[in-house]
Amino acid sequence: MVTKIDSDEAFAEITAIRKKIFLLALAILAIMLVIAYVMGKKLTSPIRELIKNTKAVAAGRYAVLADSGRADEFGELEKNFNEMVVALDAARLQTRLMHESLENKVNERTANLADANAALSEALENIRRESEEKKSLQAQLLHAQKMEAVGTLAGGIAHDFNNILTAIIGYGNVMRMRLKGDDPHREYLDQILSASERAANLTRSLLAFSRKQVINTRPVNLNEIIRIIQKLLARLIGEDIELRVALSESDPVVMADSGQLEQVLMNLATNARDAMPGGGCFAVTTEVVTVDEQYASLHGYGEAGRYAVITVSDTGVGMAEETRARIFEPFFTTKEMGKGTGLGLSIVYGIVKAQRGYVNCYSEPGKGTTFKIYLPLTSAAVGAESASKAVTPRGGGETVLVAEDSEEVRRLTTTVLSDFGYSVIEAVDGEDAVNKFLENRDAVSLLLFDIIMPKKNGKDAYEEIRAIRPDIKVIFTSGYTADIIHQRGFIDEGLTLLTKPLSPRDLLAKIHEVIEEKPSAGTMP
Amino acid sequence: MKISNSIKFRFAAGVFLIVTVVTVVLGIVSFVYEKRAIENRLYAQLNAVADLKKEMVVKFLAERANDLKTMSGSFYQRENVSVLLNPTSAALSKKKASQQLRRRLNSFKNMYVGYLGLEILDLNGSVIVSSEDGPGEPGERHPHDHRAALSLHAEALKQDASVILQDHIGTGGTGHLEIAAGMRDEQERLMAVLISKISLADTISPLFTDYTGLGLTGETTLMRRKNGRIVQISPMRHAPSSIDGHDRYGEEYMKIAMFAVSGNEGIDQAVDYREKTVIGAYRHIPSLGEW
Repeated sequence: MVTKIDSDEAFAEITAIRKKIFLLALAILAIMLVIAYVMGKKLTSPIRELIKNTKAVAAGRYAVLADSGRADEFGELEKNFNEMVVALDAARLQTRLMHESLENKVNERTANLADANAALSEALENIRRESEEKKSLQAQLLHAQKMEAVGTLAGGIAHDFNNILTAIIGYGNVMRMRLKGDDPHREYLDQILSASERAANLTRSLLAFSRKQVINTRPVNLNEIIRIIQKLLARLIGEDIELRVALSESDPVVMADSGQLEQVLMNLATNARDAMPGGGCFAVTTEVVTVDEQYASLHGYGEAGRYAVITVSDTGVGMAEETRARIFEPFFTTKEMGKGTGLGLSIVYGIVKAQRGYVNCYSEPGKGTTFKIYLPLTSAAVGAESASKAVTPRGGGETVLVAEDSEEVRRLTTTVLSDFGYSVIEAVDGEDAVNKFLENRDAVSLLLFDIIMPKKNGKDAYEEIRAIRPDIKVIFTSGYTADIIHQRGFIDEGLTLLTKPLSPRDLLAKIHEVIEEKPSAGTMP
Repeated sequence: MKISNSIKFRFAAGVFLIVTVVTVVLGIVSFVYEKRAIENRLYAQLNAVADLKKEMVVKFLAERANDLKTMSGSFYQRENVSVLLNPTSAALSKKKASQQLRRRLNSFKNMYVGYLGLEILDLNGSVIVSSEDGPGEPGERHPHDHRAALSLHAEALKQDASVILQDHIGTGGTGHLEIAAGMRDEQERLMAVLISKISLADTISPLFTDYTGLGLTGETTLMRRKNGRIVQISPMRHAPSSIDGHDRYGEEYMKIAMFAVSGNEGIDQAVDYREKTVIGAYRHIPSLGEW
């Protein structure tokens, strides 16, 4: 016998229980999942809060966590975190202060560095400028030395040639004075004298360049000189060229020889005319400027101070640099043969230099040329030019001791003085002059000494004589200009000096003037 | 930040994993214990039902055997059978004895529920007298040849035991059993066999169609060994029109049936005639010979 039951039914309860257990397990797991999620969320919520605050701290917002009142590890972590935030905030503040301090220091150091850099740049600029100045000065020195050498050469030649001309012109004049008015040889003599005058002019030009020309400096108004010569300049440059004159409001007064300044302007106008064959514009302006030490040093103007500036400009063909560098050299010319002597700008240079002035030239090919002439201003008043004496004064038998090593000059002088009422004692050198004076010490009224003489120069001879007779009057003569004579210490300031070639009329006038003076020393011309 | 890297996720996942493991373990343990308990309860229930059915069958058969034994041992019955079996008895005596026996057999038949009829056979299997009309004359053969069965159970009958001589099974628990008991003469020698035909539908089948305690699918089947085969006697719950489910029983089911008829008892899993997996408690009913 078998009692049986289907497994399905027999184990239906098991299956049901299994399902129940499974469902119960699922329910438990689901509940636990929810519980785990909630617990996890609750567990991690302080961490999330901490993360949020950590990010805030990282972003620079130092916010502390709100007191959750928890007594567990999170509460301790919250407390420690807040302490850390406070410490970090303090550290940040300290860091910021240090940063600001450091930044200030950096700025300060940067400023110092910038100052040092600026100073260094300035020093470098100064070095560069000094280097340029040095180069410029060297160039100026070379140029000056060259011009000085040329001037010395030209001056030496002109000096000797001047003595010759002095004799020619002197004897020519003597002869002319002795010839009757209808003498047939008078015409030849006039030609000789005319040629001699041209030679003398050439000599004066050379002397003007070499600054060995006698200059008659006095306070002159530049504007007045330009106004006087304006018409002459207009005629000189011709109708095709427009003359523009712009004078400064105030009249600049300089110590200069007005005749030589006129010559300067005329030489420049001549050159401008030649540079503008098709016409153009020739402008002359005056102004007053102040030259400081640096500018003067850079351009070789010598001394700082107030200067009168004559600016002469043309719109001509201009010059290349190599040409411009040589324009002041004597006998340098770009003109055709026979159209220029090459002495025009040399004379300008010499005259300006003799006036203690400076001349600059700015030129570009095709754009024209500008000359700037700087002349030191003077505070002296412009005086009226003394009228030329129409009548040659004559002597009253006074004895003149003439000491001249050049026989021609000595004889000319003796002749002129003798002809005009003076008694002349001749001496061939300084020692001879002293001896002759000792022989005629009471008769001699005036000493006429050449400065440069063999054995004893004029000054030394004069000193010996003056030691014997302190009130003795003297006139020195020389082929050199007064400034050189004074510069070289040949004679003292205040003594009268006549430069060769001697004009008989000027010589007689000066002798008469000195003799008529009171016993005190004469004045420089 | 990836959600899988968050503490919240890891914590939740960890808790979930731990709880899952614990829940699964607890669930498995609970399930195993519960399953075992249910199985134990089921086995106990099956065993109880099986034991109850066995007891009822055994008791029924024992009662029928006692009934038959009581009838066969009756003096009056023995005298009449002796008359009938004595060739020298007068015909009248024999007729009278036969009538008396028939009346007595019918009385027995009507006394007990489920008795279809009673017959007294000689040792050759011939019907001596029957409670029914028809065969019952001396020398008349019973429609069912009992000689092989009598030969088979001769020793048991000699030992004064009751045996199930033959079965005649119909559909739906119908049919009948033939239970035999020996009749002895004065010298206590076996002289004839008293056979009672018991209706299965009225006796044993109701025991097996009562499915109390067996749910919707449970049943108890009564089988016996017959000519080296397992023959089902009780009706089949799920195949009421079938006579014998033997051919449809699976090997395992046959195995536990063989266990039972071989004298074993126990509980095991098998596949029944519906090819359904079943749990079966098998019992041996030893009191009726080769069952």
